[in-house]
Amino acid sequence: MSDVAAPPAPATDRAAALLETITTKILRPFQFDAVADLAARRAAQDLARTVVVVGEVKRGKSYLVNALVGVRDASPVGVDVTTSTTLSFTDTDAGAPGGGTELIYPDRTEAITHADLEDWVSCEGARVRDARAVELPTRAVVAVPGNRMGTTTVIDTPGVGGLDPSYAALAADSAARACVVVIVCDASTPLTAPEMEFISGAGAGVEALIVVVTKTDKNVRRWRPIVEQNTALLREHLGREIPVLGVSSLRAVAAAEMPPGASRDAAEHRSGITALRALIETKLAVAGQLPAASGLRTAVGGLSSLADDLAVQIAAINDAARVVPDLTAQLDELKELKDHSQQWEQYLQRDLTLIRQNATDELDRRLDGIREKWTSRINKNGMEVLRKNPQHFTAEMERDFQSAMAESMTVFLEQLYTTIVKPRFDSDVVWEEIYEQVVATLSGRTLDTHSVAGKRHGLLDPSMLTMGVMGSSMLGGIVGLSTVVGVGAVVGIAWVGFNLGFRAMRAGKTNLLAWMRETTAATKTATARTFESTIALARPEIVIRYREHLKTSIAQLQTQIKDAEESARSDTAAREKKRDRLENNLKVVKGNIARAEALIAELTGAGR
Amino acid sequence: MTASGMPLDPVRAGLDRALHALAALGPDLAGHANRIGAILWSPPRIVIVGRLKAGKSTLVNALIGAKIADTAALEATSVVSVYQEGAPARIEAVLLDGTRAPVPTERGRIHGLDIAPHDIAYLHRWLPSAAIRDYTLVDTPGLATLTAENEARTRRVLIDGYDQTRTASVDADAAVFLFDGAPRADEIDFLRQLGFTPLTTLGVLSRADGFGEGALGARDPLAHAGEHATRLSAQLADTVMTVVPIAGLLAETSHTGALTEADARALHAMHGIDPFDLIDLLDSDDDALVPPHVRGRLVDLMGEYGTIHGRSVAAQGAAALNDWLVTHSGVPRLQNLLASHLGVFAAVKRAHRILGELDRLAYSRPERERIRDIVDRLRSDPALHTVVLFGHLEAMLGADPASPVTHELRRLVEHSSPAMKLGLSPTAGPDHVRAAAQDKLAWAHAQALVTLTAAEDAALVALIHTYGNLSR
Repeated sequence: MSDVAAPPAPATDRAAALLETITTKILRPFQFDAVADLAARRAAQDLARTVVVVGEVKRGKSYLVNALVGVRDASPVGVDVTTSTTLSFTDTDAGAPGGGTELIYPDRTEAITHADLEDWVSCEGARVRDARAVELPTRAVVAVPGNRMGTTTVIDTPGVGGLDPSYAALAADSAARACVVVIVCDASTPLTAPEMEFISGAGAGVEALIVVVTKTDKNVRRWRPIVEQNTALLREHLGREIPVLGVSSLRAVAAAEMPPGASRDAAEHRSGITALRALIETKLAVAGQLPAASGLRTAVGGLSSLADDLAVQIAAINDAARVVPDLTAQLDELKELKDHSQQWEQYLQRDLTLIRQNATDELDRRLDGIREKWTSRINKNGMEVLRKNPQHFTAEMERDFQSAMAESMTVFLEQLYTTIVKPRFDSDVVWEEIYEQVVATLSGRTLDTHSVAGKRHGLLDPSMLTMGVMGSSMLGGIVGLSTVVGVGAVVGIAWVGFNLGFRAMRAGKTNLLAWMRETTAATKTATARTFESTIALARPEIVIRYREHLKTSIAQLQTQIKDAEESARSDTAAREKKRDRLENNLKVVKGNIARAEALIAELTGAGR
Repeated sequence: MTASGMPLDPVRAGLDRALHALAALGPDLAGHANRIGAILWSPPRIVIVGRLKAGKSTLVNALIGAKIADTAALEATSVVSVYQEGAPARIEAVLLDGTRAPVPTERGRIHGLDIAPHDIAYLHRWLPSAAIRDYTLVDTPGLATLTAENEARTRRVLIDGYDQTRTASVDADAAVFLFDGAPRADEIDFLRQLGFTPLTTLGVLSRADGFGEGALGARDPLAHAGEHATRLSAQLADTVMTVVPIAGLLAETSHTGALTEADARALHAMHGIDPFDLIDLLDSDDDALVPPHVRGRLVDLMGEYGTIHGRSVAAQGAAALNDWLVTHSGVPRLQNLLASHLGVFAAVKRAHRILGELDRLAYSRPERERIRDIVDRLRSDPALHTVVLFGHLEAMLGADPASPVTHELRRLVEHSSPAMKLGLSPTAGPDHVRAAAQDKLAWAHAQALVTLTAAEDAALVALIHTYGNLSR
């Protein structure tokens, strides 16, 4: 460390270098290949990046989305166009094979030509207005060729119904996933009361929020004072510096249509979109940091096992007389376990039943909440309000149900890890294997098919579990559970009912409430069945691996005992030489653990 | 007989005669007759309603011809203001209890109003402006309405403006309804509750110069706004007479004489710059041929559209530039509509209101028999027939707007020639007209057998009378 003026390399680069050192110089030479592989995989994982654009009606959200992705009309815009469903914009590689536009129904997806999109997803759209429509899509996904946001998914939300506070909660989640919420405001008036309320609702997650003031080209002299005023208001009311940017989506889209080069760069810069993209990028940096931290954490797990083993060997040299009986006692214990596996399996069964119960309780709680929410809303505002926009409200209901389901699955998986697998194994490798099998069941497909499982919109991310961080599945609810877990999964069956929901909403209050009761019951049944099959699959996996784990532990103990006895027999000089070598190794391992933990703290703490 | 052909003078003459007869009945009735007479002879009152920041006060300034209404602050208009022609220029605050208090002004601006806004019913402002000779303008606080879906979140926002606007509209004869995109359902409901008919309501699509993509967009915003206004007119035919696009800022600047020769020169000095670059320049504080404070003034006067597209006209001087602004503001057409159509029906509504006043007097006075005589004679005066029909139309719009009886009434009130009243082409001959009237008469008799509401009953009696007259 000579030159103080030179900035240190970015944390992710240093993490990669350290991981390389640990795996090649320590883990692999000591036969910890499985851990090393897993650590490398996790570090290389691409955490999904998402930008969610929210705001009141007619603020220019869809136009801003077009400006971000750099394509005119990617999201339908116009004086007579009001977005009615959530639209996700991805790049062509990640989307459906061949790219294109897909409408997402509760139980299936349908490909359409992009030109037809407006008919299906805007309040004024021909299909949406059609009184004979039996069902309407509740979401859509558009794969955009030449998407300027790269692999970051941009989500356009409907402003209908006002600012939804659950989007603010999404920002609060940003510790676990790379998600930024952009709230779009008017350039001619300062932040309104509902907008301020929304921003406060983000709570601690306000770091993931960006305020954007649009239509600056139509408010030439007014927008800058508004930006200043907003910044001051936010500072005053929330005590934080929340970035407020001004953007002209019109100019950004025009600039995007220029050929790449200095002129285009200058034009984009003047529109304000360059600064916005850069800010988003910075806030999404956690997407790179979390996997890096996760990889290091896994490696640390391996290093700790190695350190323990070395410590035992050193202790064996120093005090064989005490250590050997200790080890022998442990060995006996394990043999005992191996012989009485039935008892152990009973406890496992009990624990599995418990977590299933907790998860279903969680689901019940949430479903009750949903019923409360909608019943009181219908009673207060009447069916008229819902009937004016059945597509939007059906989609919102679907989102509520899917989020509830996703939350309960999250609870299930989290507890599977923390109460069942971790205490028994304390090995990331084993958890990874069990987890992959479980996800396969939940998504109703085998591991080798389709890359959607790899995309993981933050819902089911095993490495996050090892970090002790479990985010909510709000994003899964927004993007559509089916795009994460797979259409036609066991969970999908519950959603067929949503087509009926749309019809019920049009019919009347009694029908709608009756339908909600039925859907709630169907959701509970489907979820219960899902957990049953998951447990049915996971238990033998756990049992088999535990048996292997016992065998390996037994073998390891036997080796340690043998080593200890050998050392006791060998001469002092040889013992001391061996001990020095072991202590040296231990020092190196501990040193690496310390460096890794420091880097993990930096990646997960300093990143905000 | 006025040039528009509507029987305004015979109506007023008839009402005037009735008021004289009323005054002759006794001394305190003379007092009432004078009061009602004041209503009769004062110009129609047109109330301007719309959302917060829709541009109401800007339009008022343009119509008055002076920057009188406060447009700067966000919640600028927090009380109702009535602008009436009169001299000297002065302001009175009319309080809720009816008392009046003079308001100190300095060069036309309110200077130290120490009465709380919620105690004020309205501000009565007199101006020696010929522009408001033909009608009185009523400027209202904005309706900060939000969509029904937001109701739960915005309970607290249900506004003073709402009540004040409603009160102000009780005395108004016509309404101009401003919106800058599309009116929301709850705003339209509010308008209906105020009791205005499509014949006495005009829609204004404001900020036309920034419509759609605005000045930098592919389409000309004024043309786009015009097209949209036409579409809205069809959609809102049951609520407004028509929808007119207005660029309020251009209107205010050009009608209040704010533009100077220096402004025109400065504007022209910026010609030849690409519009996108010009916006950059206007947005910045950079030193240039035209200094930043001058650029700022130009944008404040003419907006982005005016500044970009007025540059070539500016070469011909301030007068030409001003004419250009006037033309593009949309105000000439609006003024035409206010004077001709809206003004005419406002007068009809005014006359109907007076009939209502007389009816009320008949209930509350001991001389009721003789007052009723006067009213009955008025009602059967052929000159006031349209006024009577208008009353039925108002009632039917409240009771059953979709009824065919309502449509018939509207057509009869709206048009002046017998042919047009019956829905025929204007060139139809008298035989044709008589035959059509007889058909309608038969229809009306048949309808009278299956009426649903009392309003319909009463309306059909009047219709039968009308068709009877037309069929002779």
